[in-house]
Amino acid sequence: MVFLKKQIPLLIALVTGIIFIIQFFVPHPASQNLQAWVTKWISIVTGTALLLGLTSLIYLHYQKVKNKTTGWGFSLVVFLGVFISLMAGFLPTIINWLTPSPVLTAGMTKGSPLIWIFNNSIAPLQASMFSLIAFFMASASFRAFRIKNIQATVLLVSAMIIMLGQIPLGGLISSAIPDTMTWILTVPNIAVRRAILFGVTLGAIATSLKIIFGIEQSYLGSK
Amino acid sequence: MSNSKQSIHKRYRARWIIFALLAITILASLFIKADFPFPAAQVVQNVYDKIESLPAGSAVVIAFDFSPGAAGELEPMALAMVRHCFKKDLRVIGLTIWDAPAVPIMEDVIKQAATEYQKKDGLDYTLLPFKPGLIYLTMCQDFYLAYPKDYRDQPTRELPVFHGIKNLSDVDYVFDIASLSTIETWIAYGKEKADIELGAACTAVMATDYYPFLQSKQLNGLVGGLGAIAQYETLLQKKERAYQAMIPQSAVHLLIILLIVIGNLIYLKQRKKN
Amino acid sequence: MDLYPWFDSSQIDVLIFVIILSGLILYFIRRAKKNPDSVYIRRISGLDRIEEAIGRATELGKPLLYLNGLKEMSAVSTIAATNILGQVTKKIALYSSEIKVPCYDPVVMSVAQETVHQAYLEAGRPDAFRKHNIFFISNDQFAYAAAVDGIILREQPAAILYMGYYYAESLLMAETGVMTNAIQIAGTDAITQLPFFIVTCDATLMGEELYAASAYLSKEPSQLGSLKGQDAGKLIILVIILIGSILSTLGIMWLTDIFSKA
Repeated sequence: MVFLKKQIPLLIALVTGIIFIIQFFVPHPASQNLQAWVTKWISIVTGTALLLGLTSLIYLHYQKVKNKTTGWGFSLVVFLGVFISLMAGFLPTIINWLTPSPVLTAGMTKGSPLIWIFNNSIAPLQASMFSLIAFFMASASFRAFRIKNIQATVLLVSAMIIMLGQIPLGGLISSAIPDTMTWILTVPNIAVRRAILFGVTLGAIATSLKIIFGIEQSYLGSK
Repeated sequence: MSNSKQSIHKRYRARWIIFALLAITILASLFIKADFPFPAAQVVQNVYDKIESLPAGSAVVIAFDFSPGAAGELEPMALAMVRHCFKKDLRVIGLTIWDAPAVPIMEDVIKQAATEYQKKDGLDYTLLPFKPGLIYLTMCQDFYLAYPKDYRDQPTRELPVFHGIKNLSDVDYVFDIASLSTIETWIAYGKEKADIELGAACTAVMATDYYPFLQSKQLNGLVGGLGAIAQYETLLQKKERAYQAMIPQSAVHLLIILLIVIGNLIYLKQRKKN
Repeated sequence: MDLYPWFDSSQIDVLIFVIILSGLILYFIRRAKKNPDSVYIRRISGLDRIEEAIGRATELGKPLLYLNGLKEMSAVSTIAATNILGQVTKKIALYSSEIKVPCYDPVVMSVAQETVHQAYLEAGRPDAFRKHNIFFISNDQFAYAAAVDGIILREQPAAILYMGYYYAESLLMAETGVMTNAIQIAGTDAITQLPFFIVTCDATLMGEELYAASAYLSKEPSQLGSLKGQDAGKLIILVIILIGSILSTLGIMWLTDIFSKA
């Protein structure tokens, strides 16, 4: 069991890790075909993993309905959503398969029931959540931007310059506002970001190496 | 009422007042129409100049890597970019490495611009289906291995729009419109492996992340946020959604500045009292 | 005759850097394993608040909400977040408190379940482990944010830990947490989201501090050694930047040219 849960995944990580480091430097078609083949595998694994998630989601909401937890009615909405989406995905394909010539648009193509659901429910809901950020940002800046010390004052002044510089009014007040904004973005901003970026990239290299050589095993759910 | 509950109650009240003020400001500003100059920042101008410099028939890959949630901010850029390419008689290859839901958005945008400029599917433009994973690496070597068929299941090898293109290096410009971290991926794999000329557009929040890549010339230009998109529309002389959104955006920015000032006045008054 | 080359010579600079950095990191890991006292790691102030957060959750009898971020399991930030999750859970188990982990990615969920289980086992409390407290929500960014907001408002957790990589949803979740008065601690290498976490959280681990935190908490020689190796790599980059800046200021461009693509 330990062999299956630990040794085999570690061996796969070691072999594939080394192969794909080499693959990055090999432009030969054989190397590219291997990569294309692995890309397909990644899609299959990702798709299969989603089943794991769906099982967890259904179990969680089933428990809520069963135990009549507060708000259990919303869990029924989850089941309804899952059922409708599955039907919208499968039914056109099944109907097309049963009829001599395709009568319905299937899959994620324009005009299919899935895309209709997507355009008319998921897309507006996503857009609503995204636009909420503006409201949350306003309330967070009202609460948090305080001139407590010199650093906080510098931060506040820079934020105001950036906010003014991004709208046409900034340029109309003075051309110095967009110019200062550009300076803030291209000098202090770049310096800080680059410093963090170096750290993050080195961290990524270190973690990849640790995974390849089996030093890092937390992705297996164990130390 | 305990102190903690009182403070939560106060926070909720302040929050609702701010939300209401913001909603009123946005709604009221939607009725204001105005024409104003909006000169382009150098990083926006660079993208525009690059498209202008390409000879007719050049191939441009436009990656629609944004979610429908961010479409309000980024779709105007996608439309402006496709229009600009068609105006200059460039070939457009639309694709996404983000997710399948971007494909219908891509279809809408490209077809709208194609109708305006009378461009033909397969000849002047094409749309590629969503492919997950490390597809850009395969594209770097062989476009037809990465995408054997277009979104209508036609063999890409036979499409005139791909004439002279074997891999990503044969494309004259790649422009990624992103709401997630796909720009880094294009830089790491597209720019570094295929040495492509790369430009990008992203949401305003993300824009500051990409300035280091401009200085290192890994990006030739950046259109970050609705303001920058409005500047692009101004350059293109097609002042549409992004440009019109500048009035509500300006009003909101001014309101937030005002709120920060009020917040600080309250803070200073309290500090003096204590 | 085979016309295709077997080595991409334009990537030689990348190869050299990979070899140097890998060598350094592996050397320091080896050294730290041999002599763990040779590695010193400074105190990370944000981590002290984690103890406080767990204490508060125990005191109030409310759960601690732990988020792993929105990236897949292969991302460094997710790996670091999973390491921290293990350490946090051990303390939660010792205090007999409750932890809830809503997940964005099914694979991350599966790994998180194993990690939490392992932590309960190590703490000697396997009976207290609840598998379904680590659950999948959605792999849609805003659907996930909406669900987490709902959990925060309904369950009013005593503490919320945001570890890993986040996108635009960060403010939506953290600002909701502020409204419920929860202790909030964030750790992320998502630079664009840092300002949002700083204004809404009680403590924020920035960039590399997230990776260092998992090393700091686990005190594992391999983690500490790799951190030291990264520092050595940074030192090399710093020296190259300094020399490069001085040389290019003097008009000598050979070093700059090495790192520029033709």
